[in-house]
This record gives sequence, structure tokens and C-alpha cells, in this order.
Amino acid sequence: MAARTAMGSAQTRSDVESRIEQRKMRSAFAIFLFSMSVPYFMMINVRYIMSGGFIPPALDQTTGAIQTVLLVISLLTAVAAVRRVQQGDGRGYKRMTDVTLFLGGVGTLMQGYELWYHPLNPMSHYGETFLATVGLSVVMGLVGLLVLAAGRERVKRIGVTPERQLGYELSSWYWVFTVITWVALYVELYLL
Amino acid sequence: MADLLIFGVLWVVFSVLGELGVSAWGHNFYYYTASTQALDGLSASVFLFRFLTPIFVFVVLMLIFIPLRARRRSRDSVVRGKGARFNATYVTIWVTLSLAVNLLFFVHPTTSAAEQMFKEMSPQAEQHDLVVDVVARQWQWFFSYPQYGIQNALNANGNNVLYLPVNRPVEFVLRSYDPNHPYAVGLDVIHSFWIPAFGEKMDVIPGETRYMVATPTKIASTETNPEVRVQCAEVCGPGHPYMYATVHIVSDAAFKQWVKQQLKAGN
Amino acid sequence: MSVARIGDAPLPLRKKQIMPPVIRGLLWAGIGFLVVNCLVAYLLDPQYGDPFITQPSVVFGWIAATAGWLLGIGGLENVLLPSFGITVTYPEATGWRRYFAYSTNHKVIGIQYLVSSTGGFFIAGLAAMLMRIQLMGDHMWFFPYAGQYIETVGIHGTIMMFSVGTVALVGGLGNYLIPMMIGSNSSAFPRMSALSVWLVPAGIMTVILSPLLGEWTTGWRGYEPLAQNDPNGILFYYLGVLALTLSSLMVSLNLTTTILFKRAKGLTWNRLPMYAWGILAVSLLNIIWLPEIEITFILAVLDRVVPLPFFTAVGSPITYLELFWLFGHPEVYIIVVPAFAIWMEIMPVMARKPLFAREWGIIGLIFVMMLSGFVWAHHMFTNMRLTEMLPFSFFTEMISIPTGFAYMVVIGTLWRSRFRMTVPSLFVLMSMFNFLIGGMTGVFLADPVINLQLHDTFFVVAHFHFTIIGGMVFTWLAAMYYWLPKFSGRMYNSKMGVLGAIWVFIGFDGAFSLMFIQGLRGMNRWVPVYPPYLQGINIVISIFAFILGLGFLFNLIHIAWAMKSGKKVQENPWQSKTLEWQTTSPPAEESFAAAPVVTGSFYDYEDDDESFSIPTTPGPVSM
Repeated sequence: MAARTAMGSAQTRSDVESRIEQRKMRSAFAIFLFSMSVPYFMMINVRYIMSGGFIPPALDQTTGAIQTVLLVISLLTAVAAVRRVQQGDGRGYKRMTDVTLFLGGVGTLMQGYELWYHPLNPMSHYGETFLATVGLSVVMGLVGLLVLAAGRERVKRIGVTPERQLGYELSSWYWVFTVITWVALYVELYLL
Repeated sequence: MADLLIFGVLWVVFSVLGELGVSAWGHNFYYYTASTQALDGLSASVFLFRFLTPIFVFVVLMLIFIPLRARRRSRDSVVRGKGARFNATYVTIWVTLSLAVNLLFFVHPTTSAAEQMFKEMSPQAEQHDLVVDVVARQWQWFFSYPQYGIQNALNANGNNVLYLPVNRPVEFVLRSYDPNHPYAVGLDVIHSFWIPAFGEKMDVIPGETRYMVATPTKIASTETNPEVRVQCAEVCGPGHPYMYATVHIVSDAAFKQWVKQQLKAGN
Repeated sequence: MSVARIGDAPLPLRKKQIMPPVIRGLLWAGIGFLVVNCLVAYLLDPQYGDPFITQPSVVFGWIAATAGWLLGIGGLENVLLPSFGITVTYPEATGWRRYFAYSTNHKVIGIQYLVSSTGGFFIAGLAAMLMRIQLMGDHMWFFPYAGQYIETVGIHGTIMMFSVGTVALVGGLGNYLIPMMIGSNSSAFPRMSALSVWLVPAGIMTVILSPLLGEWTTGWRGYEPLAQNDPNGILFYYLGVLALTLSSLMVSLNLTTTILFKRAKGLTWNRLPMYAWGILAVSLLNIIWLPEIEITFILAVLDRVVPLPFFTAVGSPITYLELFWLFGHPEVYIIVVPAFAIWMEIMPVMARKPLFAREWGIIGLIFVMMLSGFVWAHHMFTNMRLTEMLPFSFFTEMISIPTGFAYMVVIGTLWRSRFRMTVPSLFVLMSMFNFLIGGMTGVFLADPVINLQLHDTFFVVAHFHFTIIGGMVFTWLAAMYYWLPKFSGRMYNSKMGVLGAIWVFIGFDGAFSLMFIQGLRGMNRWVPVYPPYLQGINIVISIFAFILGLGFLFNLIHIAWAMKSGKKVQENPWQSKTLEWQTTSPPAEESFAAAPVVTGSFYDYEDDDESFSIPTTPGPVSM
């Protein structure tokens, strides 16, 4: 909160400054996502180094497909939540985020299930990359869910104001990023 | 202009002195060489020294000469310095020269010496080599000579020992596993096979086979010069410092004699 | 909303603050560790014999401890609860206490980073001294076991690389100076960097405490598959590095955004200070390569904890080596690029001349940054395929060209200048000399045939100490003396400063130039025991190393003394034009009372004495 103090209160800030502030947040978020995508690039590379293009028949394609569909739907609701918050509709944002949290939670749980009951031997080269890659996605997904939950609580307590709007948007966009990276990993792990 | 002249004279003088130093001591860079590979590396190093000396002298002289010449006489007043904020000649010469020198170094000695090494390690060049199977484990070197039927070369004390005939190319076949525990494939770690006097080393990696080629040029042994020793150069656990073996480079006749003695001892 | 104003009402707040933040952080860390460790060790994943510490329990316990530490230090009230929309009053510490608390002031954060870094430097330096004592004898005599020596080497390297090399000039000086240099009163994300700084002491402590779990013997690189066979101490190496790199990553995100968006009016890209360029280049390297090494280390942790076979002898150990050096070589440039930038920052001020060929200096920084991603495998000439050698050799040789631009710029600036030989300029010259030796010996190492002899010997040890101590630590000292009046409003004693510089120079060059010779004579790395013929030179090196250690201590004491009771000086003692000097020294809570406007270059020292005016009060700057 002291950060806000240093920047001066929202009322005195001129329009230009708030636009710069917005652009700053968006760019920093883009840089952050760029940095966060490095692990995914790495895991995809590691998979091809370790086990080539091999996909074991024992892989649970159904669970994988269902969780991906759930996550993709949660992506759509997250985008819808962004639309709501841009219209200043705090309640709509909360509703949409609830749906995202539910779908995303179920999807992440199913990923966790796959980690737990993995049908593949972890001592095999595909098995080890599968575990590590899905594990990465689960951890990132939990972080994304935490961020979403924080946004939901915040909107319940404080509501949407022009200078807080971006925070809600970005927490939803972070979830979108998580889902997109999962879809990439899904294609790489289950299909390619 | 005077600055430039004085600097130029100093640069030439010190560079010449440096080059004389390289001629006098450059061949000591590798301290002790006992293989053709070490000699190759040494000559590449001396070539680099020749070219780097004037560059080194130039920069160091600049770092000492300018501050001394340009030191402000009065400490209190701020006086502006003369001189340009850009000088196309200086920048062009600097960039071109550094590019040219680096390209030269890449062609010679880097690529030329590397090509020489690749040639020595090519299958055609290894037709008549002595083959020595080297096995590294934590923390011991084993040497066997499949062409002579020696399973595990040992000296009189029962320590692992490497005997090599002089002037004959040797191919070391390097593997890392524990011959005493062949069932535990995940047991061993990366080692590095290094004979300092041979001027080269190669990592020994579990699950892979690596090769190293050397042609000994001198009759020597660990007793006569401790740089003739097998030393593990890659950290491999607490026993790493103890992972060395003695080396003997002997004449052809003495090598044959040694082979006979090893076979008789049942090694 | 505003905490400072709430702080005016003293009574209720004093009641609320029950514990100093550091103590609370330690307490919560301890509780977090015990609870989660016991949970994992006894309930979730009990192992045979019910050991108190198992590999999974210590990893999860460490995560809980770090979270507890960060929350306890102030993350709970300032970050976690507000993000859930709960506003709590948090009394802001004042006076010296703010340096031991959560603070969003970039100057406080900078000092916190610098102090943590200095602590790491002297702890790791002590480890180096222990190593040198052992190496005075050719057999085990100081350490009882060889593994303890090798572990000391590993702790020395890890702390030096990750808490000093990558932190002091970026997290420390960068946080303190960059916002001021670009005319802003705060960095872009003050709350993030207020927390990130506390990861540094956590990381240092983790690495130092690693012997509790058993002596790991891999050195700072954690080579596989040895790391898999080592005792569990290696886990704390991975986790400590994870904390330290996370801290650096947050610093980089913060400073990049700060430079991009918080610049003062009129501070165009053409006028951006060199140090800001340096930090920008470094930050980009951090943003790409730190997540890479973090994931590599997490895979290595999984290898032990799950276990998976990624980097074991039946997996692919070489892949670990590749992944490590893919980060490991940019790391070297993460360390020295800010040093290059500081040379170019200090030298025009001392030379009273415009910075020569400024664009080429920037091109140099950026090309070093880009090429540094293409050279990693020159660390692996002894274990790669022959056909892969030459490209890496090529790029390694080529990277010396943009590196040389820094020299070209500085020499061009010095030429025919009015040079002031001060303690900072002396340190910069020494740094340039030492880094030159590091670079020249690098040419030998870049050549594969010569590298096969020199690799893993003390020649390499000497080479990289010349680049890192010579390049970065000497520049760090230069920067500390140069900005000392800024930090404190006081000046060092110049006789003591010169003595300190010469002392460190003799100790350093004596010890490490002899290491070149030692390596060529056949001394390999990581050995507490060596053939007797090497003992003489080792004793001499050790003596120089002790001189060096005392020299660093001398400089520390001198700087600390000067900050507290040196002679008071005017606000801009170097008559520098960069923005950070246009504030009061030491700077006020808000560096600039009014937002400054930049109207000219910071590096023009061509004007006459009369027109060179230094604003006495912070405010709009006209140049």
C-alpha cells in the first residue's frame, strides 16, 4: 500500500499518467509471461531429448482429453470475466471467476489424479518426462487458482474501481496463460 | 600528436620486449610434454602468445600511460578535457582489427589444430594403434590391453598401472562403470582421464564410450616426472583427489618384456 | 489507505507491533519447517525406521519455511492479505529498524541487498580462506575428510555466484541507483522487491546449512550423476540457489519495467545512462536464463526425491551439463555486464570528457548479451562430440569483440582527458587490467586443443577469478567508493582508499596469477591432496590469498567507517551530471521533490566551469 502512497493518490493522477501506469502493468505482465514460458519450452525440449516422439499406448487418453476440455472452457469463462470487469461489473466478474475456479479446479485435480495413478513407469524416459511436465502444469495451475481466488475475494471485499480494474484483468489473463500452456503440453504429451 | 608519438614508441618497445620473452620462455608454457598432442597444443599456445602480446601491451600501456599523462595538475578546479566524443579512424581500426584477429585465431590455430586432432582420431588413422581399455570407477582406474590379453594391469604392489611403448599411437577406450558391481548400472559418475604430460584429457561418462588418442614421445614415468601420471580431473566425490595411477612410458623391448611378465602373473 | 498517515497515531500501533519482523520471520520459518516436515516425514510419506528428516520432508519443509519467512517479515500484511482484499494497518519501521523490515523504499531495498551480498561475500570468502589453509599441505591436515574440503569449495562457489556476483551490482546498486538515475522516486514494483530482497538471506542460510544434511561434493555446478549419489546436502544447494535466483528474477522484472516506464521527462533512449543500459541487458539475460536453471534444478531435485532417472547414469547426465551451462555461461555475463556499464559511468566523470563512442558501448553490451547464449558448450569440450566443438569455439572467440568495445570506449574517453586519479578511478583501472588478463587467458581456453589440457585445472580457476573478482568485485569496490558520498553524504579517506586498492590488487594478482602456472604444472581442481611437487607454489598462493582476504576486510571497515564518520562533503563531490547526483546526499525519503526534466546528455563535460551548475535543491534539472 505504501507503493500507492509513493505514486500519489489516484485522484491527482492525470489521465496520461494513469495510461502510462496501465501500459507499465501490461508490459511488465508480458515480460513476466515471457519469462514464465521458458520452463515450458524447456520441458518440451527435454521430452524430445529424453524419449523422442514416442507415446506409450498405456497413456490415459480419456482423462487427458476431459481435463483439457474442462480447462479450455475455464479459459473461455476467464475471458468472459475480463469482459465483465472491463464493463465495471464486479458481480459478473465474481460469477464468471467462480465458474473458472470450479472448472479449473476440477481440471487441475484430474491432472493431479494422473500424477497419482500414473500408468507409466517413472523409470522410463517417457514416464519421467510425463510426470515432470504434468507436475509443472499442476504447480502452475495451483498458483493460477490461488491468484484467481485472491481476485474473487478482492472483488467481494473492495469491488471494481478504475485503478483496480487491471489487477482483476491480469489475474484472469494469468489463468488464460496457464491453460494455453497446458494445451500446448497436452498436444505435445498426448498427441505428437 | 606528441602523446601519440610517445605512446607509439613505448608500445613498439614493450611489444618487442614481450615477443622476445615469448621466444625465450614460450615453449615452457606446457612445462613438460611427452606426446605429439601436447606439442600440438604447445605450438598453438605459442602462436596465440605471439599475437596477444602486442594487444595486451597496447591495452595495459593505455591504462597506465593515459592516466599518468592526463592526470589533472590542479586538484580543485574542474577543467574540461580535450578530445573528441567520436573518432571514426580509431573505432574503425579497433573493430576491424579485433574482428580480423579473432577470425585469424579461429582459422589458425583453433580450426587447424582441431582438424589435426580430428584426423588423429579418425578410424583410418587408428589402424595400428595400441588399444588400452580404461575403466573408471569411484575411485580407481583399471587398464586392460585386449590385444595382448592383459585383463587388469597391476604393478608389484597390486596397484593399477599404465605401461605404454614410446612412439606408438595409443587409443584409450574410456568407460565409466564399476567392474566389481556390474549389476549396479546406475552406480558410477563422470570422471576425466588426464595425463598432464600428454596435454589432453577426456571425460569418462557413464553409459557412453569415449576415445582419446595419444602418441608418447619420451621415455618417462611418474617416478621421473610426476606430470606423467593418470589423474582424474573431474570432481567425482570425496575420493576424487586420490584417483590417480602411475604411468610408465618405456621402450618397445621393455614393453614386450612387461607384457610377458603381466601374462605370467595372470593379470 | 496511506500507511504513513496512520502511523501518526502512535498508541494502538505500538500495541500491535509485538515482534521485530526478522524475529517473527525466523519464528514462522521454524514453525513452518517443523510442521510440514513432520507432516511429510511421519504422516504422508513415512519411510523405514521413521527418520525425522527424509528427502521429501526436507524439501517441503524448506518450502514452508521460506514461505513463513517471507510472510513473517511483512509479506502477510503487505502482500498476501491485501491481494485478498483485506486491508490491515502495518506500522512502518523507522530509523535503523527499517533496514530489518519490509520496506518499499528502493533505497532501503538497495542497502538491504548490498548488506546481504556483503555478508555472503565474507562468508564465502571465509570458506576460501579455509580452502587455502588446507592447500598449504599436500595431505589432509586441516580438514579431516576430503569430502569436507570439496563441500567447502562448493559452498564458496555457490554463495559467491548467486548471492554476490549476480546480486551486488544488480539487486544492490541497481535497486538503489536505477530509479534515481532515471529521475523517478520509486521503482516499478516496490512491493515485489520489498519481498524479493528477503530471499537472499534465506538462500545464503540454506546453502550454509547444507552440511547439516551431509557433505555434497559436486562444487558449485552440481554435476550429475555425482549429485544423485551424494548425501542429501545437495538438496539445500538446489533449494538455496532456487531462492537466490528467484530473488534475482524479481529484481530483473522490476528494474526492466522501471527503466521502460518510470523515466523522467526528456530522458529518451539516446540519453539513457550507461548503467541503465547495462541493467537492461542483464535483466533480459536473467529473465530468459534464470527460469531455465530453476527448472533444471527442480528436475534434479525430482531425480532425488521421487526418484526419476533424468540425469542419473541410466538417464542422460550430459543433458544436465548442457542445461546447466546453457544458463551457466550467460551467468558469467550477468555478472560482468553491469561492471562494464559502471566503468563507462565512472570514467567520463573522472576524465571530464564526453563519453567516447557511446553508441558502440551500448552495442557492445547488447551483443555480449546476445552472443552469451551461443557459447555455453565451451565448458564441455572434454565431454562433447568432436563435430560440435568448432561452432562453440567460434562464438567464444567472437564474443571477445563486443567485450572489447567496453575497453575501446573507456580508452577513447581517457585519451587526452583531464583525468582525476581518485580511488574509484584507480579501482576501475585495476578492474580493467584484471579483466583483460581474464579475457586474454580466455582465448587459450576457447581453443579446443589447448582447452583439453587446461580444462579442470587451476588455470581455469585463475581465469574465471580474473574475470569475476577482477571484473566484478573490483568494479563493485570502485562503485562503493564512487557512490559513497551519495549513500552517506560523507567522503572516504583517500590515503586509506589508495592503500586498500593497492592491498587488494597485490593480494589478488599475486594469488591468482600464480594459479595459472600451478594449473599448467598439473594441479587439477577440487583436490585437497596433491603430488608433493606442487606444495611450494601452493604455500605462496595461500599467503597471497590471506593478504587478499585481509585486504577485502580492510576495505569493508574503511567503507563502513567512512559512511558513519567520514568527512562531510558537498552533495555532488565528483561534479557528475547524472541524475542521481542532482538530489541531496544522502537522498531524502523522496529523492526528487519535483519530477526532474532532462534536457541534455549526461555525459557532456565539454562546457566550461562557469556554466557547469549543480542544482542545490532537488528539482527540475536543466542542462
